[in-house]
Formats: sequence, C-alpha cells, structure tokens
Amino acid sequence: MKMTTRQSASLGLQAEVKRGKVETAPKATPSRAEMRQAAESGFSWQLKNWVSNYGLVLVLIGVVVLFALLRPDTYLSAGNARMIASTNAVLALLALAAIPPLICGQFDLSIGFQMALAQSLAAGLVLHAGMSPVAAIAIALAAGLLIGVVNGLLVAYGGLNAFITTLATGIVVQGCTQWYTNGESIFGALPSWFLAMGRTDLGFVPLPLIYVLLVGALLWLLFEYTTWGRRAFATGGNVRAAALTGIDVRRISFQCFVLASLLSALAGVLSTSILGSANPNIGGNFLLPAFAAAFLGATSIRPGRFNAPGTVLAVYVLAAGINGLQQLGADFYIEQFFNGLALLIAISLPRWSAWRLALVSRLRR
Amino acid sequence: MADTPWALQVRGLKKSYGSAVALAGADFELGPCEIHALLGENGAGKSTLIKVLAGLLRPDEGEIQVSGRDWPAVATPRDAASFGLRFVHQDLGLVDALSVLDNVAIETGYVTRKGGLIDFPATSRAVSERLRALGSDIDPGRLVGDLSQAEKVITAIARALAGQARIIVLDEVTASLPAPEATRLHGVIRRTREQGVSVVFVTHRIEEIFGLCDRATVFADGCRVASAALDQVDHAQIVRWIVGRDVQHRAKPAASMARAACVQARGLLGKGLNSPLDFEVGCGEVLGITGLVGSGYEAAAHWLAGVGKPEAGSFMLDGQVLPLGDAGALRVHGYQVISGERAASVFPGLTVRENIFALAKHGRAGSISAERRRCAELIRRFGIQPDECGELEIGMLSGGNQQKVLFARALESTPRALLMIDPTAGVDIGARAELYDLLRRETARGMAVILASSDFEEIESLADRALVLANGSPVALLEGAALTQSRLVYEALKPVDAQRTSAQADDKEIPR
Repeated sequence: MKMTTRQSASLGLQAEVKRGKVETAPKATPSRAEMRQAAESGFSWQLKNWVSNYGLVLVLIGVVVLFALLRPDTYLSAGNARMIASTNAVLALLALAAIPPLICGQFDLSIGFQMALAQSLAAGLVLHAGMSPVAAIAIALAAGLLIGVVNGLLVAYGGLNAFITTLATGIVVQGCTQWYTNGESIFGALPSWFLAMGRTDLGFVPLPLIYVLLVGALLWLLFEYTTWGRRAFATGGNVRAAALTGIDVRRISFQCFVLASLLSALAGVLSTSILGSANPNIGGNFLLPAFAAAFLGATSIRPGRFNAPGTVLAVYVLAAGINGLQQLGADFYIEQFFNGLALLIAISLPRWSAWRLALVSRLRR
Repeated sequence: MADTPWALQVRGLKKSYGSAVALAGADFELGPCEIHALLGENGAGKSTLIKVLAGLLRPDEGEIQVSGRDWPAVATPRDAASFGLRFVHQDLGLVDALSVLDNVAIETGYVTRKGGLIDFPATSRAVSERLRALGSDIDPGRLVGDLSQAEKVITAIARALAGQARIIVLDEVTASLPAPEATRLHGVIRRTREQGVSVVFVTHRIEEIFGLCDRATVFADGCRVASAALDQVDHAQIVRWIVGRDVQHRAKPAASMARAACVQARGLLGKGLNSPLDFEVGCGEVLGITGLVGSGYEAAAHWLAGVGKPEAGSFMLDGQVLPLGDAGALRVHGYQVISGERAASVFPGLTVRENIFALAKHGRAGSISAERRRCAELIRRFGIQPDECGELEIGMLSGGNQQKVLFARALESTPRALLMIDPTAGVDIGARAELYDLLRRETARGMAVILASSDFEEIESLADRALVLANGSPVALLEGAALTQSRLVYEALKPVDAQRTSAQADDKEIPR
C-alpha cells in the first residue's frame, strides 16, 4: 500500500540529496525490507506484526478462557487470581533481575542464589539477631549490592567469561547462605507490618503484583526511554561498535550486574515477607524458571529483545497455565514440562514464519 | 594452442554486480609447475577471479579449463576441489586453539586404528612429513596460536595441499608479514612447485615476486593488462602496468593552507609503525592516510578511532589535547568516526533510529517522540531508503543504506572533525557517489576529515592531501596535481623496493 507514495517521495528526495546529479542505476537486488513488504499486503502485515508483538497477551487470554470453561468454579475465582498473582511475584522479580545482564550481552547465573541469601538474611537478622526489619532489609540489599559489584568487576573489568564467573560466584553465595543458616530453614514470628508488605491487597490487587508492575515499568522506561538503556542495548548488540561509538562498555556491563543483584536481593526480601520464613536451598529452584521467563518474554512486546513487560507477562502466562493444569488434576511435575515446552514453542514460532516467508518469496520469483 | 598443456586457462571471463563491472573479459593462463604472480590494484578483479575459481561465484560469461578439462557451468567449491584447486587466503582460516597436527589433519585426514580411533603418533608422523616436504620442521604438537605468522602460513599451505592438489592459490598470504619473514616463506613456495603443483601468488609487494615467481600477470579494471616471464621485464615495467594509463592530472585546486588547523597529531608511534606519524588537518580539509595492507595505515586508523592507544604521541582538536584511547571523550568533544567495516559499526538487533542515536538518546529521557521526529528528518536528509524506516531493524536495509545510517549517526551531532576508515567498503558505486556528496556538504561547513583508506581511487577523488605510509613509516605527502592514483601506487610501492636488497640477504641466512 505504501509502494506508490514511497516511490514518488524517494525520487524527490534523491533529487534534493544529490543536487541535480545523475540518478544512479537502480539497485540490482531489492533489500530484505522491500522483499518483505512486497511479500505481504498492508493489512495482513500489520495484523501479523500485532500478533507477533502481543502474542503472549493472546495466549494469556486463551489460557484463562480455556481453564475458566473447564473449571468455572475454582479457576475463575478472584481468590485464585490473587493467589497466582502473589505467589509468582517473586519469580517475576527474579526474572526481571535476569534481564539487565542479558541486555548488555552478558549473563548472570548467580541471581537465584543471591535471592536465597537475601531471603535468609532478611529473616535471620530479624529472628535470630533481633534486628529491626528495616535494618535487616538494608543489610540484605547491601549484600546484594556487594555481590553485584564483585560480579561486575570480575566480568566487565576483569574480562572473565560471565557464564563461568557468575556460576562460580553463585556457588560461593549459596555457600554463604548455608553457612549463615547452618543449612536450615528459618521460621518465627516476624513483625506483622513486615509480613503485611507481602500479604496485603490494595483493593483487589495484591501488593506483590504491584511491586512487580512497578519494577517492570521502571525497567521498561530505563531501557527503552533513556540514554543509559540505549547504551546497554548497543553494548549487547555489538560490543565493538559500541566501543567505537564512544560508549564505555565496561561501565555499562558493570552497572547491569549491580542492577541485577539489587533486583534479586529485592526479590529475596519480598519472598521473606510473603512466606514469613526463609529456605536456604531455594536458589536453584528459581533460577531456571526465571531465565525461561526472560527468554519467553523476549518473544513478545518487543520481539527479539529482552524486555520487562514481556517477561512479567511470560511469568504469568506460565503460572496461569500451570495452575489450570493442576486444577485439572495434573501432577506437580507438569510445571517443568509446561515451562520447557512453552519456551521451545515460543522460540520456534518466529523461525517458522521466517521459513515460510522464504518459501513464499522463492515461489513467487 | 590446443596442445599447450596449461594447468589453468581462463578465457573472456566476465562478472558484474549491477552496474559495477568486476571482470570485463579477463584472460589468464597458468603453466604447469610454475609460480605465477597475479598483480593489480585493489578492485582490479583479482579477488573476483579467485572467487570464481573457488566455486564461490558464478561468472556471467567466459570459459575455464583446468588441465584441459572444462569447468562446470555451475561450479561449487566441491567442484573446485575435485579439479585440484586449493586456496590459502590472507586470514588463513586456522584454529589458534588447536595444534598444528589437528589443523592439518582435519583437512588431510587422521590416521586411524582399527575401530576408528585416531592413531595420534602415526598422524603426527604423517603431518610432520607433509611439513618436511615443504622444508619446514614445525613440531606438529605445537598450538597454532603459538606459531609465528610465517609458520602459520606454512601450516595453512601444508593443509591446503591435501589430496590431489594441482594448483594452489596463495591470496596475499605475505601481506601481514614483515619483509624478512615473507622471504622465509619463499623456500616453502618453491618446494610446493617441486611437488608438481602450480602456484598462483597474489601479492601487493612487487619486489618479492622477482626471484620467486616465474611469470606474472597484471590485472587492471577487470582485464588482463599483460602477462610476461619475469626474467624479461623489470620492476618499473610491472609498476607501469599496474598503474596503467598515463599519469592523469586532475584539475583540483591546491589546498590553501591558510585554513586554521583543526586536527593536529604529533609523534604517533606504536605497534605497527616504525617511525612517528605527524599531521595536521585544516578546517574543511580532507586528509587521506593511505598505504598498502600492512603498511601501518590500519594501525594509525585504529589509534585515531580512539579504540586503541598508541605508545606515544599527542592528539589535538581545535587546540585542545584529547586522550587517544578514550573513545567516549573524543566523541563528546566533536570527533566522530565512521568505519566501513559494518561488523564493527552496526548494531544488528536494533532499529535504524536506535542505531543513529546509539550513543545518546535524542530529547528528554522518558519520551521518544522527539527522537522519532529527528530520526525521520535525518532519514530524509541522508536519503536513507526505504523512507519511514526508523523503526525497522537495520539489518533489513541494503549495505549502502546501512552505511548512510552510520553517516547519519556520526554527522547528527555536527562534529568538528570526522575520521573515516574505508568508509565505502562494500558499497556499490551509486551509493558511494551519494555518500561522497554528503561528505562534501559537511566539509563545506568547515568540518575536518581524516580519510584512512587503502582505496587509492577513493583517496584521489576525495582527499585534498594524502599521507602515504609504507612499511610502517610515512613516506610521502601528496597534494594538488601530484595527488593521483598512479602517484599513490608509486609512492606506496617505492620504499618496499628500496628494502629489497636487505630482504634478499635475510633470505640467504634463513634456509627453511
């Protein structure tokens, strides 16, 4: 639909650019964009674009409708919705913590263990050391900050491989957690206002979901609408080009690691307040689902790149699906199958449409 | 004619890309058991010929025969290999983290025991033998990453000679070698010939073909200019053939040096340069920094881009000393860089808009509407096609348009000085002309330009003055009527020639 206006406009513009110079020979081969535009008529192109951007929203609606029909009494209740929203808030925060290093082309495997440490510190410092919850939270966040600084220094400034480095620091962090807790869970009577932070509803909406939405929105703004976020994406996109452009790529990576650590510490503190207890061994359980959600989120909203809204959405799509299956009587391990297969399907779909597109353009030639 | 047993015969080979002609009916003959130098400027058609022979490109027209056998109409790399053609390219394609043994045997085949397990001692002996046949005693157990550049080339040649090799093409394998090390290779190349293999030796170093090669063919503008036995021509004749046409004087006003100096570089020195580099660029002036591959111009460009840091020297912009090695500080002070190597300058997953504003978002944080508007303006101003491409991923644009995006990124902030490194590499002729026009508009407003390029044609048509480097030293500063392609080639080649005698002395000392 845009072909005619585009052509006439381009002729005028080229004349302006070249100041009356001879028109160059037409390009021998059309660009990929042109091929793509030619292969699709305007409306179906826009529809496809919309579906590919908001696919996860559609899937969420589909999942909810499906299970609402199958289990109308239990699944569609407000209580169930609130339960899903608040029990998965910690996972959502941790998935958001995975994003900053991924965006700048790095990887932080230690976030799950950092979350466990923050959880144990927040509970233990109050219950065992008798500190005020405010001090305990501050210390838990400060510990997270410190780990982030170490990760950032080693990877960004030391030039070590992120995957291996954060695997190593993650193991050490887990060791610290078990040292501190003696490998045992921490129970006890936490102050009620501390528990209220994780267990109160604001109207119909549980507070934990509000924290997630708030953090997600802040991350979205930070990465999509600020210079710093632009530089992080540029660093992740092509680190050589970023350096040539004048971006301090080491500083950006460093800051991304610190941000990831702060967010995982926050997730840990929130989980203490929701659970009212701490378990030193949960780090590993949360790690893989968090990354699964971050990767699944990268297929939606801004397909092809890690983004906060997509990640939050992914966490809740998976949670809604798993909850529904469990209400149908599925066993607990269905969660693993659902998470893994959903991720596989999500990353295969864009490939599939690319294969199809290539086939179509070959047939039309 | 028909009974002449050419190892390789090429007749009337043509290949064009759109309007750009790469080969315009080229001929080439390679005799059996000879070392044949293939010479010519960048873009003369050598690489295209080699790509055709490697089965990577299909020619538009022309005939090829290998030892009298007709070349298939649609040749693949596998066909090329079955015809006995082997290639060693400048980048060698070796795996640094593996041993010489593995690098060679992965092509020539491992010796295996019963049951399919590798017999490493036997494979090592076989690889050793191959290396010895070339007159080299490299230990097959060494890591390729630990070898000298010359030893790497020898390893690559040993690997390429796998199977029934009849012809081996050595594509600028000596380009990155210092002259003495290059001569060390010559013994290996002669041994290759003794094994009954014909050698096509592509090089920019004219002096090294004398004493090594039997004959030479010179290409220019996609055609053969001449073929001759090297005992019948001299160095000067070869250069005349390469440079071609009579010396053309271009009507270009001599740069008026009344201009205020915008960029001043003093005593730049470091790895890749043997003597210090000094230059000034006036406001609105284009200074070319050029030379052959390996001459040191790349090192200079690397430092001037602010990514690497020279060991010594200072850099001033409008009288203010700026730190080389701190790209961020350089950009902030109005000094931008455009590199033609897109792998080092484009952000593939990002949109055109984000590519333009990669260093800093336009407008206030939290809103992108101002940035969108500005982006649309720039797309129009720089003639980036298709228009309204701001939100498209940059990979969807053609190479020339991606390059325009890079121009938009660099010029958006109206810099005071601009460094361009091979800015139109891989850009077709039409888009190239547009980019040149964009550049002239910017110099007209007083921006200083440093153009680091090995494309002498580009230097001639764009630069007001040109600094020629050779063998790590600045050797000439050309301007006005003296700044012509032929003179650039002459200056770039001359000093290497002067070192020829000392290189030959080295050759005798190091019999490999």
